[in-house]
Amino acid sequence: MARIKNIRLAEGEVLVSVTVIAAELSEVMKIAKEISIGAKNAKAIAARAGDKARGFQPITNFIDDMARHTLKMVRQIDEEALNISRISSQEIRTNDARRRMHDVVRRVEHPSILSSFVNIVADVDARLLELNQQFDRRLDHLSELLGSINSDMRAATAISSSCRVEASRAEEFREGLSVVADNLEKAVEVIKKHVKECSSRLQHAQQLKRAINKKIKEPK
Amino acid sequence: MKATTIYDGKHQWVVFGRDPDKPEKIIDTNQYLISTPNRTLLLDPGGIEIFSSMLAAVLHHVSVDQITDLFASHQDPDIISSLGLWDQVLPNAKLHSPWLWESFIRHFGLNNIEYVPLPDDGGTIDLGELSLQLIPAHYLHSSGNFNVYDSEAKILFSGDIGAALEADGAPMFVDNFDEHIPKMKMFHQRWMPSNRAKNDWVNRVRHLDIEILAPQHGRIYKGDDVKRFLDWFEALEVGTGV
Ligand SMILES: [Fe+2]
Ligand SMILES: [Fe+2]
Repeated sequence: MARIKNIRLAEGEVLVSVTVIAAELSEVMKIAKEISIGAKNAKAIAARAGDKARGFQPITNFIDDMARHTLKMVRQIDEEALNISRISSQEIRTNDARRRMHDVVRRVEHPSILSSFVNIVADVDARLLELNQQFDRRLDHLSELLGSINSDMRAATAISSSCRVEASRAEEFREGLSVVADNLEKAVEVIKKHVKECSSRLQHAQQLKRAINKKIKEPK
Repeated sequence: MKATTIYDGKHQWVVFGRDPDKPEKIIDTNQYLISTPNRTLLLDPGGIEIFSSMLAAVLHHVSVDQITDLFASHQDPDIISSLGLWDQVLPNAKLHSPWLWESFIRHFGLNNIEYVPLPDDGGTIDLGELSLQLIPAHYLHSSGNFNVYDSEAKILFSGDIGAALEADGAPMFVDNFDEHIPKMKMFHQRWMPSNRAKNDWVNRVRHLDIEILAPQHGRIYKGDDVKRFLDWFEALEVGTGV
């Protein structure tokens, strides 16, 4: 488990990690759009090649669908990352409020003065718990979405090798269709790299979060 | 949040604003980013409510460790109430802000960031490859207030001066100055207290070579509209609340 010295700074780091994911994915979005355009070009070549590229046509449809699915996932991740970032900054503020309120409780000498305040403190505690649960749920959802892009990419790798096989049979259209396979392969590699980076940010955030929660519960 | 690059040379200027997720009844603000290869400065980074959208938008342009400096033209909540959150995200950053407001701005929560108090006559913010001039704009509207001038990009960040109250999602640039006047008139008359301060500022700013005048609310002025604004502002009677 990650070890933290300063809870406030660690909270800041969690916030940054999840917010960075959205930024990282704008690159993936660009590449997925390129794949989709590439698939349309490939469709045109395959149409011209006619019988010589019979096996190629369904592949291009598949690539296009996959690119579109990836784009959809990226948009959802982008939205979810921003939601989490928002929850995370609310958590920082609420946690700060909670710290200050508990400080008040410690400072007040006569418990009778606190009677009206106790409920407020309890509310803040409950809200923090709720935010915490929301954060965890959404983080899980985010990692599912990332996983879904990953399986798209695994499928894409398989497609690019069938692309190559079909291209080799397409005689004078061979070169044009091989380029499609090359581009797809390169794009997949780049997307995988970005997704990996996102996943490690996500993991980092999760670990820090657990460490923070543990530290908060520690008796002073 | 929408991001628009307004200068792209050896360094960049990006404006962020028109946040569709902004809660209702919160005045829309323009946040600016100036980035050089090694340093990034955020001008009037905004209120606590838009912090997440703002940070997310900024990270599309620079990484967190590239953000080295913050600037707050004055003490208002729409300018810098997000400070307590930035303080936890950028513990090593510097905040450049009027000396007059240091003990007030610290109320927003400043435990890690270093407060660099700006003297009344201004000076510069040095970003290594780029030096930015601080133009005093006291009493416009805040009693301790600065604009930021970039002589290379010919951009003046004018804070609340030139601000306008717009409908949600308004365009980033003024396209018809006369139509823009009703949106900014009350803002300047009611929020700006001093004709003397206003005229002094107009006289000083006229000597600067300005291509873009970039306020913290509403649309940005370009080219001839900059001079149109200065003429209009000079002729305007302000401090009309009494
Ligand atoms: Fe203001
Ligand atoms: Fe303002």
